[in-house]
Amino acid sequence: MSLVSPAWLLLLPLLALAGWRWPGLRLREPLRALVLVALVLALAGLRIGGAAGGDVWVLVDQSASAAVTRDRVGGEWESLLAQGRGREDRLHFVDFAADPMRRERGDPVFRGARTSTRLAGAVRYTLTQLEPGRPARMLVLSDGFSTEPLRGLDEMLRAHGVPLDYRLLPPDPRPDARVEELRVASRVEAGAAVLVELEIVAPAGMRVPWEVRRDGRSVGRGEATSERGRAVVRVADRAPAAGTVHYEAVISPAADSIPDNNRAEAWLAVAGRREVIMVTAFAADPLAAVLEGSGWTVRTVTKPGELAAGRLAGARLVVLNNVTAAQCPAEFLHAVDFWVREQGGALLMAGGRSSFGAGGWFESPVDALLPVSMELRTEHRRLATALAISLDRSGSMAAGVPGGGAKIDLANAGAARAAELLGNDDLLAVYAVDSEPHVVAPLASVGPNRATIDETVRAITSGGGGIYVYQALNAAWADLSKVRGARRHVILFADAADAEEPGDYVKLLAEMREARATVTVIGLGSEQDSDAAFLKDVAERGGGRIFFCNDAMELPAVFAQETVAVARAMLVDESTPVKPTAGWLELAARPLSWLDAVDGYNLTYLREGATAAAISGDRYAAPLVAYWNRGAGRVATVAFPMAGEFSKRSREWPAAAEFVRTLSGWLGGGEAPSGMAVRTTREGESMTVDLLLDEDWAARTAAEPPRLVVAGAQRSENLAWERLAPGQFRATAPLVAGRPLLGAVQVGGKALSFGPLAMPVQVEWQQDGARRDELRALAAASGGAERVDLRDVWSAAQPGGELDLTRWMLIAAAVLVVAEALLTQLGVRLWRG
Amino acid sequence: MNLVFANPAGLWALLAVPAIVAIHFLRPAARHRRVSTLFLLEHLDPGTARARRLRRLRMSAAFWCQLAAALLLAWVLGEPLWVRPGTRQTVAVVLDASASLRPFRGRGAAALRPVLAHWSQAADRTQWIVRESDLRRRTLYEGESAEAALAALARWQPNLGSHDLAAAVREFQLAVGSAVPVVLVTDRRGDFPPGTAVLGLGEPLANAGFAGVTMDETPAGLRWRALVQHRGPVATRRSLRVLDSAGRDLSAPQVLELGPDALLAVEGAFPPGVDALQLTLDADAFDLDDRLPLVRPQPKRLRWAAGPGVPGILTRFAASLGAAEQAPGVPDLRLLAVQAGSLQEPAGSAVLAWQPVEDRAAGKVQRAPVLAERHPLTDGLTWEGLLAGGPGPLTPAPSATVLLWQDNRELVWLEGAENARRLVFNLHVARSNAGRLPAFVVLLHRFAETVRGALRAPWAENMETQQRIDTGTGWARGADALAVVAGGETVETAAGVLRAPAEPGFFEVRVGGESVLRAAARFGDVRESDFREAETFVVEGRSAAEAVRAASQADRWRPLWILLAGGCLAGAWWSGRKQGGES
Repeated sequence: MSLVSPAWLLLLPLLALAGWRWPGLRLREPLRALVLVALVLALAGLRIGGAAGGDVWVLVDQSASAAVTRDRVGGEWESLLAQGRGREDRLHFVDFAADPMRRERGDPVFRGARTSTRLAGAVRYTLTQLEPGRPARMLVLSDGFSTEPLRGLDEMLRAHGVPLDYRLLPPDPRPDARVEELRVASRVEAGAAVLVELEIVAPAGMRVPWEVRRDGRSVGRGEATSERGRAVVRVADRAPAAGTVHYEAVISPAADSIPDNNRAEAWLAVAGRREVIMVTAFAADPLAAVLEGSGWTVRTVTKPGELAAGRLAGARLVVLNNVTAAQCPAEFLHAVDFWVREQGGALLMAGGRSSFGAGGWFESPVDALLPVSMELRTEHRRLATALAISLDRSGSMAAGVPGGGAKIDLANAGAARAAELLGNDDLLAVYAVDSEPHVVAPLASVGPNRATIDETVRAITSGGGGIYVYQALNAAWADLSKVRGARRHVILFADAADAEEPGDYVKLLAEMREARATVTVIGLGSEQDSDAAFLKDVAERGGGRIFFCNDAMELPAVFAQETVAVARAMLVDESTPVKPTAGWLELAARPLSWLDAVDGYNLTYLREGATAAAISGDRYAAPLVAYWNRGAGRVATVAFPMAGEFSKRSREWPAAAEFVRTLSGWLGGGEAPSGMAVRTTREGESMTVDLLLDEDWAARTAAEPPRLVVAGAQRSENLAWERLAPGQFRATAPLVAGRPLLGAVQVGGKALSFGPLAMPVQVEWQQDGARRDELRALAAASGGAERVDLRDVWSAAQPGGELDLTRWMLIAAAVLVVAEALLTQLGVRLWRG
Repeated sequence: MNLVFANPAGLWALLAVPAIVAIHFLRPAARHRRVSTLFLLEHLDPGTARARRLRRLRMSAAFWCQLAAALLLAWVLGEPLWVRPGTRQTVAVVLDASASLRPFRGRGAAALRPVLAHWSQAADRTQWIVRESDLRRRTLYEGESAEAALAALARWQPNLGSHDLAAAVREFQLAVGSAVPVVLVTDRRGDFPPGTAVLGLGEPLANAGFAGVTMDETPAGLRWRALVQHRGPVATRRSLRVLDSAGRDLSAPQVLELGPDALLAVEGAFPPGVDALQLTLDADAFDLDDRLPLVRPQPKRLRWAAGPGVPGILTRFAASLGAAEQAPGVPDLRLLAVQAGSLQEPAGSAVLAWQPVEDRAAGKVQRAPVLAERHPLTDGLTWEGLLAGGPGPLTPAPSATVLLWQDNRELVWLEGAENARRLVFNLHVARSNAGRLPAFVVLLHRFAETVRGALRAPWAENMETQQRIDTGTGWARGADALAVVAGGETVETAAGVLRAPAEPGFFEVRVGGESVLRAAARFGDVRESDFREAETFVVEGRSAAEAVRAASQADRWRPLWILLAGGCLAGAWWSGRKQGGES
């Protein structure tokens, strides 16, 4: 409770004195006394609630672009802040770059990615950390160049009553050379000459060595001299065969303060014969030979980890032949989904031990595209599974994620999802591990404990330090080793940059393998992280898979994929008859001479709306060949292997080539529609798309105007066209750093794809003055300001917290006045002293 | 100074006033006092304990003091704010310029009036800005009169095609500053910047109108084919008339039966001797697509001439051009063969091809790749497969724009002044396969069209409303302004910026009194004729109350009013200390 103007309370003894001196006032009467007390409290400004002191949340920019100056002045600034604090005040730090992390919750050393400055995400995260009822302010210590817009934050800050102050880091005075722009045509014909232009910004007179590479190979190098701050280099190259080409330009000046802005990249789509991207486990895949013979240009990829979204631009068909989902980058798989649905691409998945559910494709980004589902229905299961999940609960898991929450919450959701997918007879144990394992859910049947397991798993919180891997594996094996008659599997989830204490894991894993138990590792981070090699070794020795998740949001899906791959996927590894259906005649002009039986197949189930061209002749009647249209594209599955294990019969099948030719012909679809053209240009951070239609399209566009769809962060987005002239439309869209833009123009049921269009330079190094202006405007709108003296932040007004009772006192006084008047008029006296 | 109440609900305390008045209608209870002397009975209140409960109102000092206290308390509870003199704010109104707002224009003023009144309380002076979402257009109003701002809506002309409204609002917000509240008037929901207040004026309407037209030259003459689209759940019928430019019927009206969401094609011929006609449908709420004016297309004639020794491919190309003729006398485009050495500058535009004196001088076929610069003439063209003996010995002028390179030497370039452009082929065209390369023919065609476009010669064309008319190629040279004549009105416009009129109809462009373009503009964006998603709605934006608080000051005499209220109460109690009568 507090009073704004306590001096008014002196009226109370004066009123008491007046009441004694002039008893005729009858101030002792309760109502009169209450009226006067209410008026005095209204004058004094009575407030209740709220907390003594306030909180200042300091958002410290840990991104790469702010590193140098932050390291120079950051410590001093933090000391100044601590000095100005009052006794009841509290100071909190939130480090942010790509992700926010509350400093006292995790490691004192910031371990997150530093390649972007997501200030908006950090502000949103901090708002979720505020203590209710306690006044708070935010103070941003940054270079001011956020890599994402700050739109909408002013409303959120005002709604929370939190002003935002800022202090900008000083610029780095050292000389810097950087790549400003890399210009390449967006599309050329195969074999055509290509002009690559590289623009360099450097102090006048500086000599800057440069190199241009195409798909990793150098196509030009030299040394440029900066004239008046700029140098332009031009390199002639020749486009290879159809597909997409990745150009990269790198400079290596001798004296350079910021090496991270010395690189740029661009994509070039090369048109030509229809291209198929064959992602396969086999270097000499028999499917590739058949496709080449059918007029396709085949690009074989045996290292799926190198696939990028940009590769899809020149392709017409993607074949996934016996590769696991874990082997393919998540970004590529998400791009495949958009590419099929919106850009009219085609997808074929062929069977094998690493395909369908067994390959971890369940709940992958590609799952929904397939005409078959991959869950294993209970009635078809043969063997129970005993699964132990060891979760890393170390400090790094406390880092925030977009939308609120922390990484540990997503890991918990992943473990809970695994529990959902297990059968009633399966066994599950969950351990949360830091320096020692903590049993969260003891090994027990899933069926009767499902709800309890879900609840306890989702309540795991993050601790500190790193995960002790040996302890994690040992705890899991200690329980699993006692289980008999079930498939035993361990999922180890660990931070790929903070997995410690391997102990004698080699011996332990050997023991587990001998007992036919397996271990899969889900690493949070990338293959380049410090402990990634160790985790890969654990997975390899454990006979399981290794997943690297750079985006914590993918964790629930990865857990699901792994669980299904272990517990619910099934490869029927025995000879099975083939029963053709009439569905084949939708694809082919004439019937096919089918093989009598296959050596094995992946058990799947036909989805509603899909067509089966052949089914298994066993009790499952499962689809062996299925297909359907998906959005603008087409997808087909062949559930029996056509290469590798269990493929002898299919390889010796005389009509195999005709089968592949027909299926690929249907998947490849017709030629591009005539009378329409799409042209894209990139100017800085914007992309312009021009659609040109001849007059034959007038009727179709009148009935259904053309749509322009681009792949957004979470979902596809429609952009608005402007009509410039008859048959000419134009739209503009902003480019987002780090995410090449893929899109499609859809007209009259046809789709023309374009992209990838990318920002050539990492936006983390773009010093766009508009971002600083945005920060200043945000501070002003929220009631904050620039803090030249950081100690001032403590003396700034802290809004919120207390409830002002002045209004209520006045209302009470008004009511009491009326009541008192009534009683006086009626001669009623409550006090007869 | 403006007075606003931050807590208008506090004025309910004024109910205490009638309550006090009613209380004073009550007869006070009699008080009994024992006295020993009868004379004191004379001084007693005549009221007796057995009197009626109500009496005539007596406005005693206590009554007035209690009333004053109640009024003062009500005033303080209302929390009056005085908008500081000299406080200013800016409020922006963005009117959606899409054509689909046309049927709902009249609702704009009524919908905006309460919004503007609400905002006008937030500052002493308010600067109103009213603009359309087409930021190329002038501001409709900028000033301090809300009534004038509303009156400016009469100049709002929604006739633009579909455009990115959210981007327009964002751009406008950037221009006026993030602190300025923006009110958007539109007819359908969308994803608008946060904090933008949105007033939706629309409602679903059925609409029938023209959705496109094509013209086809047949042996029997020029024919038109128009699409009529009906967007509505119920079948309807429309009467189609074909009129000449003066509005006279050229044929009998035709009745069209249009089913729900139907698309119908209608055809007809351009009567001989008629250069302009218009198709009309019965008028409905959306009128822009009810008229389809057409002119008989007449492109500019291009005169060309070929000099001696010109490769045959160039001559055949020129002969294949539409609306072109060979005119050796005064050609617009010359085709010339040139030998080595510096190029002489021929008069006018030309295509120059290197022609060596002896074929052998052309050299071996070059295998080096041909590199294309980024230029509109070479955009999207592929030169792979070009086999020629070159580059030749020609050298470009310092101001030339190189289009193609081969082996680090200039192969094709563009030079010359704006109206005398020269396309130079520094390769032995006659001894190459250029004629079989689509890129070569397309390049020639594009160049020829730029030459044609720069000619100041009359032409006739069918366009869409607000379609940009290219004046950059020189046909408007020497003219500071162009006269656009449409609907009987003449409008002068700057030579660099020319668009077809915003309303369907016939129009003419004159340069120096000479007619250069005779055209018809029709409304072509069918997306705007679909009213199925139009609706009336309100999306709250920023709060005016916050702006009021920021621009005002609280009543600084507040403690005084509270003290006075207390004082009035004390006065009431003091004066009423003997009240009540005595018996």
